Amino acid sequence: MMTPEQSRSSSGAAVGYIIAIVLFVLAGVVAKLSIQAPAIDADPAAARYKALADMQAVENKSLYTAQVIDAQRGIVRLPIDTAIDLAAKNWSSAAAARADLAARVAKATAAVKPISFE
Amino acid sequence: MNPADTNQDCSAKIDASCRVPLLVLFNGAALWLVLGLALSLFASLTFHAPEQFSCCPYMTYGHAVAAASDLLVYGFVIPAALGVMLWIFARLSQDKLELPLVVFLAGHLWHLGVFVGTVGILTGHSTGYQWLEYPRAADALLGVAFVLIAISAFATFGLRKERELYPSHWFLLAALLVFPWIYSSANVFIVTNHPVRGVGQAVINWWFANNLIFVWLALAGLGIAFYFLPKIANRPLHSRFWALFAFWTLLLFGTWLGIPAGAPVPAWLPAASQFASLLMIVPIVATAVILKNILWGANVKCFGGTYCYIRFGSVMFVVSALMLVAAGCPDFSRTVEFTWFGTAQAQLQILGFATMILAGAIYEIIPRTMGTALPFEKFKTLQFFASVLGVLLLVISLAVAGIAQGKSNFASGAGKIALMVSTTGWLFLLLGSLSLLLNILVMTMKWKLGLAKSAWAAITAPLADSEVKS
Repeated sequence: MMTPEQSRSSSGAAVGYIIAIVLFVLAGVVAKLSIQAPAIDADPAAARYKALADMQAVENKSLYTAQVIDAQRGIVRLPIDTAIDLAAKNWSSAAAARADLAARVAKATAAVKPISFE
Repeated sequence: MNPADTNQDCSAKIDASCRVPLLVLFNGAALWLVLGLALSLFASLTFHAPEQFSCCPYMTYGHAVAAASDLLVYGFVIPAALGVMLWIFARLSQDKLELPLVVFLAGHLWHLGVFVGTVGILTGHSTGYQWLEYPRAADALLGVAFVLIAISAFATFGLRKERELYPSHWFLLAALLVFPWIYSSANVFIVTNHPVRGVGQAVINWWFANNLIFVWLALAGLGIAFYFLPKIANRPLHSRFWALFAFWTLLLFGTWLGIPAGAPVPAWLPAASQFASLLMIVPIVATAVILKNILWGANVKCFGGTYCYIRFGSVMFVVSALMLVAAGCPDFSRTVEFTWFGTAQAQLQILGFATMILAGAIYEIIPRTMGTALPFEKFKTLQFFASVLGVLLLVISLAVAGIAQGKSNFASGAGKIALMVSTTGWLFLLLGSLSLLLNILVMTMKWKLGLAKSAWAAITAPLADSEVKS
């Protein structure tokens, strides 16, 4: 017949073992989660969407925004609609437009004078 | 009633409490041992006629060897060791086995896990990691079953009347704690979904393989040997301090081994493993001293009895550990790494050390728990000599094949003759294991028949007049 003391000791040993095993498994799971790196090619669709969005952002910027590219040579970027309107307006007088174009091409392709301290 | 009678009475009660749970564990283990050795033999036949199983994908060399190795370790060694541990804990506590029903159910769960795992491997669902080939479902069953059986062992351990722990206690309790630790860690890291990436998988697999085959088997095998040898030889374990020293140094250095010297991993890993293998000399010497003190001059008649099994197994542990140390030496490891030499060492550890000690222990325990003698007493001796011959043939031939491979720089056909000789080793081992299976099966059948007869007699017994209602 098991004494109460033996009974306590027996169940204590069993419970202690269960706690130890739970701790082992938890330690393993925590260690694995803490070193987890994103899987290779885990989400190829997301990567492709990001590349497309980056490309479209660059294209939109060049098509729909104005920016001075080279002030010295008179090169600017214009939104495509503005450029079309300007071309239509300037080329209403073809001779003047041709002379203006030649002057702008000459300015854009002329050798740039180096800055004195360079 | 004199104290001896009380003691005998108590022992009989303890043995009776272990009967059914141990039968479940030992019956399944003996069956898996035979199947594992038969599969190993079939796989070995591939060295003689490579095309013989080409028509049958289930039996190709890769499938058969993985299934056979796991059957030997998970099918035989672990459940048999758990059964022997439960009996030893009950004996050392001088009380009945606690939670026998849990062990009964967990034993069936374990064998179901082995069955599911083996079918999984043979049908091509192996995980691909050595010693962890079983699919996840089988892994879960084995893990749960092991913990349930260990809970019973700990509950029985808690019943002990003497608070002092014996050396067997240290080794066996450590074995019960080490297996869930290594098995859950390896499964969480490399078998579950999203395993760790790259070289980490190989490193964790090597770590697990070494801890299972070398450290766990050493803890279980030496714990059992340190219980039986002094008892049978009738001399004390000499000494407790040597045993304590061997225990801690084995745990300290043994767990670092396993990374091959030429493994393509950061250099500190194989270097640490090689350094630890050098330090393994310490627990090996300590174990050898303990064994020498018990075995030397012991007056035990030994002709294939339990003492022979356990003595042979213990000596084989020392040889196997020395082979492991040799494989860790830089010069020798360059020759034998990734060759059959490693397989020779692992098989010596499993079949020469663990299986021999467990078979000897089972032959000692089963007649006590069943209360009858073995049905085929001579088969015990037959198994001993067949197993010794089988282990020696197998291990020597595989080791020679490994060295020939390494020396010839992996030339095709190197060590082929030695590999063909190893088939004979498997044959002898299979013959021996059949003896164990026959003994246990016949004993179980007789016991069940006896139960059925007594139940029938109780049913058909004429009622006493006083029991008949008019």
